Amino acid sequence: MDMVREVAELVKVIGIEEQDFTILAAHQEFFERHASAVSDYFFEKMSLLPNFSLRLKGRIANEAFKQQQAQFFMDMAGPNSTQSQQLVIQIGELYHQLGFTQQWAISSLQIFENYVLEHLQEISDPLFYPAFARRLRLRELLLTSTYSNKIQEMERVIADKVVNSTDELKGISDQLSTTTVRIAERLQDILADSLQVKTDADESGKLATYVQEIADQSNLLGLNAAIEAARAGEGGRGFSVVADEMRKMAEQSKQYAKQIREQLIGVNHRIESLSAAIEEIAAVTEEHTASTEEFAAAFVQLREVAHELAHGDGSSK
Amino acid sequence: MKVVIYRVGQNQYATPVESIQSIERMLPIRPVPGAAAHVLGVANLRGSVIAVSDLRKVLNVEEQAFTPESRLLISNGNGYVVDEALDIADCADDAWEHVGEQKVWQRGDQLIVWEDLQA
Repeated sequence: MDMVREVAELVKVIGIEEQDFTILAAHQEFFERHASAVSDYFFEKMSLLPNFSLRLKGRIANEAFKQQQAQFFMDMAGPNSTQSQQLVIQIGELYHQLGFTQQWAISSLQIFENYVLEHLQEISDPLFYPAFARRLRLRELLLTSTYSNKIQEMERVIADKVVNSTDELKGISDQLSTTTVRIAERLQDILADSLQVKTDADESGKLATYVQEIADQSNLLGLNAAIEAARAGEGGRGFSVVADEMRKMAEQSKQYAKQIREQLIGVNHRIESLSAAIEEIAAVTEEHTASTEEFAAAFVQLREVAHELAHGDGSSK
Repeated sequence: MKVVIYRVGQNQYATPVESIQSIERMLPIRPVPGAAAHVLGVANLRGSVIAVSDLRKVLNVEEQAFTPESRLLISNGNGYVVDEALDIADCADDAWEHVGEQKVWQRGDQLIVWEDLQA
């Protein structure tokens, strides 16, 4: 990984060399002797921070934490091995897991340095302190790298979640678009149907006019039949009853035709308001469709960003 | 007696059925020059030529344009334009009362004026 290369390069900047490890190893006895006191000192200093004991509580026993610090300190005299680096990384991961910030982790290193400075008179070798300081910087480098790794890992987890959510939302918005398009299509059908109903009603209106016409003719026929019957005198009496009935029927037909026409006027009014409502809905649906498309487009963009975040290379697979 | 009841303007009139041959829809009328003022012209009724008088003019009723309800009463070979044919009704001979020069019949709420159609 890039980070390994970067650390390797930065190690050159720090200027730590094999000789430094040798000098520190020569003072193994110093580190062993002070290990317990150092961890007490560390714990005491850190306990001043309000959240410190809260963070440890239920996660790691105080003694186990102190044990870690002691080992961390003693290892300063240890060889420059992968194992040693692994120890630092483990400590970094523990800090991260416990919820300590990177700034906290770096400040914690200074506690070790302060302790050593206080006891520096026990050591005569003038090269000891620079070697100690350089190894501490190396540890600081490893700690910060561990934190960066953790943060990147977390970003990836979050990005993956965002990718999954946006994929899901994209599906929903696609479904939404399809549904909206179907609604728009059905509305067109309904609009066509309502126009057909209007045509049918107009046609029925014509038929009602024909019925009225026939009623008028029947009425006239009835009147003339009644005249004929009256002129025929007694002999036409039976026929006059028929003529009267005929006129009554004609009158009734006329009334019905009139009612039909009145009802058709009502039907026409309702169809018109229905069509207007449907057209209004159609307009709203069109806006809705446009919004849904914008929505979908925004999701595509969001998805790309999420994929970029997840893969870190801008390729959205 | 039986009478034909019809409407001219706002009023209703009655003529005995014996005087009326039939009631017809309006026919095309051809004007005749020099005829009396109330004569509209002549029309062809099933092959016979009849003179057509405007009863509205005869009765001094304001003329309206013809409507689908306008009718021709056919009497003695003449046609009379009325605004609407209403009914063929029975009425007692003594139902008619003289009011001035006119005979009227109170039929329910409706006042009906006697008309001989002699014009």
